[in-house]
Amino acid sequence: MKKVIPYILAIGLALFVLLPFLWMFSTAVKPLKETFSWPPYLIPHDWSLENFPISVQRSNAIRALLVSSIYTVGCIVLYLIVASLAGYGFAKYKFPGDSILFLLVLGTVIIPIEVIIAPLFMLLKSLGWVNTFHGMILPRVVEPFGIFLLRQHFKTIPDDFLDAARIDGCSEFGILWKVVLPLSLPPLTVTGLFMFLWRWNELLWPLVVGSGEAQRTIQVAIALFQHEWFVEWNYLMALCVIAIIPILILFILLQRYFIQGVVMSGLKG
Amino acid sequence: MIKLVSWKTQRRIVPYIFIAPAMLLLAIFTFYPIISSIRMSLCEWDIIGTPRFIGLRNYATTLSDMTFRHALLVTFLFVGVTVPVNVTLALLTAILLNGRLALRNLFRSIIFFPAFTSMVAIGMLWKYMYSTDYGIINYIITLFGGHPKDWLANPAWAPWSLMLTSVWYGFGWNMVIFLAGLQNIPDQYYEAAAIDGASKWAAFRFITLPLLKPISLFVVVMAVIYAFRMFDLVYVMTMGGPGTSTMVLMMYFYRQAFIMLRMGQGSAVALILFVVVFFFTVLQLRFFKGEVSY
Amino acid sequence: MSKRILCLGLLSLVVIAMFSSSISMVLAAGKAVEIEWYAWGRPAEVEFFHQAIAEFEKKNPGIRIKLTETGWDEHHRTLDVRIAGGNAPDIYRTTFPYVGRYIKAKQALDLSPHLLKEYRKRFWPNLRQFVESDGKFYGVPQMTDTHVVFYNIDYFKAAGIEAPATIDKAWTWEDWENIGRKLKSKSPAKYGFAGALYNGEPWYINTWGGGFVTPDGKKPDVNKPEVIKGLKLQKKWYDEGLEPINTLFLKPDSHEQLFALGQIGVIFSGTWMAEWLKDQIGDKFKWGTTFVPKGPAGFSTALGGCLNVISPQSKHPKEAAKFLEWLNTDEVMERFCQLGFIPTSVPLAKRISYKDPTINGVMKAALQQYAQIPPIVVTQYKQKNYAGMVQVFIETIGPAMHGQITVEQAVKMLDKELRRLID
Repeated sequence: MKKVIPYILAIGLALFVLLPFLWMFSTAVKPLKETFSWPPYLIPHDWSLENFPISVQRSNAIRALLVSSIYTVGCIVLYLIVASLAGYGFAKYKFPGDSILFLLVLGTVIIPIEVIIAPLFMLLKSLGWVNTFHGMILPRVVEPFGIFLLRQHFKTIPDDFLDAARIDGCSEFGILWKVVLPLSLPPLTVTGLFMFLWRWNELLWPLVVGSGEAQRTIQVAIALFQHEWFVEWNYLMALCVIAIIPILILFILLQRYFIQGVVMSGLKG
Repeated sequence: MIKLVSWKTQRRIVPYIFIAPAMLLLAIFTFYPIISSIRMSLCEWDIIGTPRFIGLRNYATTLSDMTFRHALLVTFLFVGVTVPVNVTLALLTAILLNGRLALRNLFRSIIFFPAFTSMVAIGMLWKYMYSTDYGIINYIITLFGGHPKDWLANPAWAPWSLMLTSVWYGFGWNMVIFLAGLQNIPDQYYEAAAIDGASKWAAFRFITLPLLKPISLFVVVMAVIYAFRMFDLVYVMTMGGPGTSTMVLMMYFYRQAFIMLRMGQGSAVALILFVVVFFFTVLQLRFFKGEVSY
Repeated sequence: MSKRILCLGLLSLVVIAMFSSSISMVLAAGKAVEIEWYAWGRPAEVEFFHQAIAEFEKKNPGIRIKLTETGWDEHHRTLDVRIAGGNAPDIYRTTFPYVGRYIKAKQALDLSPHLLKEYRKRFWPNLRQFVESDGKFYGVPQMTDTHVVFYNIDYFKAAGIEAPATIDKAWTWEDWENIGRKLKSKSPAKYGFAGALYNGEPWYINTWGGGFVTPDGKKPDVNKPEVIKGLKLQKKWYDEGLEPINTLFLKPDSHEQLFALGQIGVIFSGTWMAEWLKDQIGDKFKWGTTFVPKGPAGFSTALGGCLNVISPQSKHPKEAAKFLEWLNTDEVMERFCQLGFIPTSVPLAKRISYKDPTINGVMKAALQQYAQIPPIVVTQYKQKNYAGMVQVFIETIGPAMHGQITVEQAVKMLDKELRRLID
């Protein structure tokens, strides 16, 4: 009996989390007139997969997926570079102003994008960066979470390692590149994955800055199925499912690193 | 390069070079816009017109607005309920899934799954499920002989329905971080406790909890910040209604800036929110100080 | 080693991708003039836009129209940010209550040099009030619509109710209440009716002789006994379950959806829903259209629809105007309005016939009613911030309908909030 209880709890929690997704998948294969009914039913009477090609075609989703990928990968790659540099700088050096600067970085977590979006857009406009990928990516590269995570991890790497490399004639950047980063793959994976989740799912920023169809991300494409007076639920949910698939694949591939990465980051204070 | 610059000078400059890219990006794309929004908060501005300087009047209007005070209360309710529930549920789930369990990884992945999806999509999905007359949740309730509820339509229920969705969305994320914390606790501690004849509860109370304190601080601080910033779910599901029952601060910001078309006042609201969150974060850090060192 | 190459490869890919958009933009800037048209639209509308653009481009090889399709929820928010950032689209779509704000901020181009006087004269006088001032003409009305009443014919038969056939026989609110009672007791409907308060717009209080503003537009017109009486009646309907309170102000559930499911017998809704209702209802039941009910002060309803405006920031106003002029000729408009809209051109509205029999039925009632929309509707729309007024209406009347505050208190609060928005 004692052995069964954890399973009951785990299955209960899993169902609690999964039920809404089942509903999402079931709606995604229903025809529009079946999306509302009383009583509602999980298994469509007249199910078909045609919602997927239709929603993809109508919202130009292939292109949107590509745009989302460029935006997300761009943010991740730059973020990993910027965050490992900064995390390393904060972890392994003492310098005047270090704690204040670090607090300043951490403090930005408080600021929601909605608040600065108008001035930010005007700044981009004056730089002539509206409707470009770099204009979309660069303002969204820095998130304090990864810098914090990597800093905590770098702190656990003994200084002896670094000094040994220094004696071998390695430059400071060389140490980071050749000694520290190879020891940090799991935390880097976590940092990258979190960034992926954030950017892939972001709506407001890509919406404002990438106002043309050429810069439309998948989340913006999803929002197109919400009309002034009604929602095309089946297409909307079909596109949601399509948007989840890349993340799911990535997560399955990297799952091994994932929890290990948070553990190794030494997120323990 | 090493030969040209002395070792000491290099050590002095290098850290700044390391942090330069991050600081530069933050300075241009975060700090500068914040300064602009401080400037805007002193103006009357409807976004498309020209701003007109009016001093501190936006702050005065905001602080004396009944709707703002109400929004502040609603926000505290959200923070006060979702953070403890979310964190406790995450911790218990982490402990459960840290034990020896077949398919452990599958369960972990499933519970982390909501973090994969956008808040906007989730909000729409839940709104659809919460519907009084055609929602699946009410249908399930009637199957078990219950009465359908006005999940989002009743001002007394709507905040709680939103909170349920928010916990559903967020607890998997915190669970992962707690799992990491749990795995950092060496097994020897538990073995030693078991040899001493300590009960499981005692082991939890005297080993797990104290050793998890630092990571809990991290989780709580982040959860509080995100709860204060809550917007997407409210925007999609209720727009702050019925009435103003779910008007959280960020929704009030949106109302002032984009519906009432007072972007200047919107900026003031945002800055007030910023100060409130900052105050609470410092308070929490102070509270835990001595037990955690960064 | 290979890992590093992979990293570098990835990095260079990103850099190339980041700048490729700028490169392709430079390449694309060839000879044709490109006009960006910023519009939201229902699926059928967007399909029509694409066809129309193709047709126009064929006739005018030197002009390319690029449609930027937006979601309704975000349309005005992103448009505002783009205008403020100096990156406005050449042509943007907006609605009548919103356009005044753009005109006032000098973000709408005067089109009188581009459009002939006879062309401008075709539009309904009510609609011209929004875009015309001092001989200047700031936007081209594209389509218009209004509210009507949709009813379930099968349920009406079961309950022995008949819908009025002419506008002078339109129901009063007392009739409405009786119909609701009959439907609830004698037909399978779970609720009688819904939608009189609709989406927070003031039609219902207009019928009781009130409004967001007085007819001169100078002060709020809600704190009076007639309005309070009307709202109390409405509250009674919710309390009795004649009307589902979960559809109050369309949040969170839609009464159109419940009507389509056969749970409500009769609803107050927009003509633009006809096409959607047709799809949703299918052959589940027969339904019809009639006039909106009237109160002691007559009837009131939406003067809905949208128009297109050219931004003064546009580099090619002449070409943009050429497109708008063509798009809103009677010939093109007639095809567009087949989707279920009232033409903005009066001569066209007088002769138009709709090929789709369902839409034709809906439009018959709508067109009769449209010609008689009271002037208060225009006055309210022309307020500085109509959307803000709707918001405070929802915020104050909502709690009263839910019984959290009394109707008197709500009306007093509403009066105060409206006053702030008028000044």
